[in-house]
Amino acid sequence: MENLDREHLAIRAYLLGGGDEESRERIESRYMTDPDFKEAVLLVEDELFEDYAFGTLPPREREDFARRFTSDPQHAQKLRLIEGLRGRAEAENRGGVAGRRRAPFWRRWLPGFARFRGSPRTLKLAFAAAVLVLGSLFILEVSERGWWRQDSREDIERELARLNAPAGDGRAQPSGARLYTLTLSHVLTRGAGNAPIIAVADDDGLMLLRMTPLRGGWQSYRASVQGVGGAELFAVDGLRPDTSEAETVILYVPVKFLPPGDYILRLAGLPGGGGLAEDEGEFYFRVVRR
Amino acid sequence: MCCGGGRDDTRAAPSAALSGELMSKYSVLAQEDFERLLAWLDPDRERAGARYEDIRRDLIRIFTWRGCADADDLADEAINRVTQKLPAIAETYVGDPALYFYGVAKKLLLEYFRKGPPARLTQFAEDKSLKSRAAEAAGDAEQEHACLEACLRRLGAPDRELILLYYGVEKSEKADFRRELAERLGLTANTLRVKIHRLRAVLHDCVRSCLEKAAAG
Repeated sequence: MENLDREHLAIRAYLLGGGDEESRERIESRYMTDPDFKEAVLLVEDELFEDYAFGTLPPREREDFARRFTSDPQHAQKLRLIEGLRGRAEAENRGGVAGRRRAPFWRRWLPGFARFRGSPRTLKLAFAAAVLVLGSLFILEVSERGWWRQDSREDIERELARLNAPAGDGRAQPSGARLYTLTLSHVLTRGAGNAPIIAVADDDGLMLLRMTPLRGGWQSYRASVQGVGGAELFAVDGLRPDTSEAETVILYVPVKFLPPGDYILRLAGLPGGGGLAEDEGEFYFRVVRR
Repeated sequence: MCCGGGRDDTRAAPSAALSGELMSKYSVLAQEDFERLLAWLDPDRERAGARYEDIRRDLIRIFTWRGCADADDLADEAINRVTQKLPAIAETYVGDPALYFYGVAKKLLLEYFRKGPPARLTQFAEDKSLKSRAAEAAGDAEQEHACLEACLRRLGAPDRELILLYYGVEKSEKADFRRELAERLGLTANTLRVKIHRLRAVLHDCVRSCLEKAAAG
């Protein structure tokens, strides 16, 4: 895949019906026999699809592309995939990413106060009122939403990644933290109605959730947790299995991240070279406060 | 050279148990001929089946790129001709079998070209979104959206974030963004393009498989 830019123009011209017969045959025979070159051709084809979907092809190229690629259902599906990814990415940028990294409410409102212009006395009164109002709202928000929600998902996942890093790989488990252990079993075997219960006494503790994959054999796993009937709360990648006896996967979660309630943990195997995660089981559990 | 669009068949390679399925589909090949073809491609039947699918898919793509209508039929015709030639060449042919298939495909292209000026695609709705045309039923679009979401969730978080970051950039800033993103990730621009391409291919296969499962009920 070296010097892709140098070949890019020739491949692109070929895909749009250009070039002489000799150059076409050269590209085609190489495509049939050279895996790297094949990937280069398919990459350029992909990017042509992107340019067409996003309207960035010059008119003549647009016509050449449409003549070759727009009548086939598989190509149409590819175009819709690209448009779908674009739409998804835009939605993420509009609300998702900003939402995930949403600053605490007081940080969002503070700039408004900073722009205030008035007499010193008025300023003092306004400041006092602001402290009163903000303090009340802060207490209300913490009590209603739970302390852990003050952390963004990004912060939570960063801490979980540190806690669950492979031994010797930067794992940072708080010393002295009280450990609450729970062995989970699959929904299939236990049934959602008999969720195992983990009883915790303090917010500074650490939960150790132990589970056995359905099939196992993966280099690493992903565990994602959501409230029952709710959205995903967090996900942790790169969990290494313990294969000393039966293969098990362990997830450490600070108690503060899981207030009392019912949860679903989904386990997935991660292929070593990247790619799609494979389902390795669903586990229900309940957190109660002692 | 040649004419309209073709169909890009990207089915997964068959297992040995599926060669009967292949046989029923490509019934122009006698069982014996098909077995001989597989044996020529690879002594291992599984690998031979995968190789067969790869070659067929590649031929379809080439005929499509050449602007040919019925690229599937042309690819099958090329395969038929190679199969018929096999008794004469199997023992003596040296080289990648894929090149032999390509040689036959080139002759097929010449034949079609000699038949006269290619018939151009006369109807293509360039301005009408293919998405709206091909997925007119609301259910299709919704199902595709659901499949895309499910497939994105199956990607590792870094890969998911990367591909959404890539598609979230304004098209006019794409070249600069690619460069910056590659630098940030410690990759060359070309390596980043390859990575995105591979992620896109994984997603496309996943969505296709998801839609097939949904259609099967």
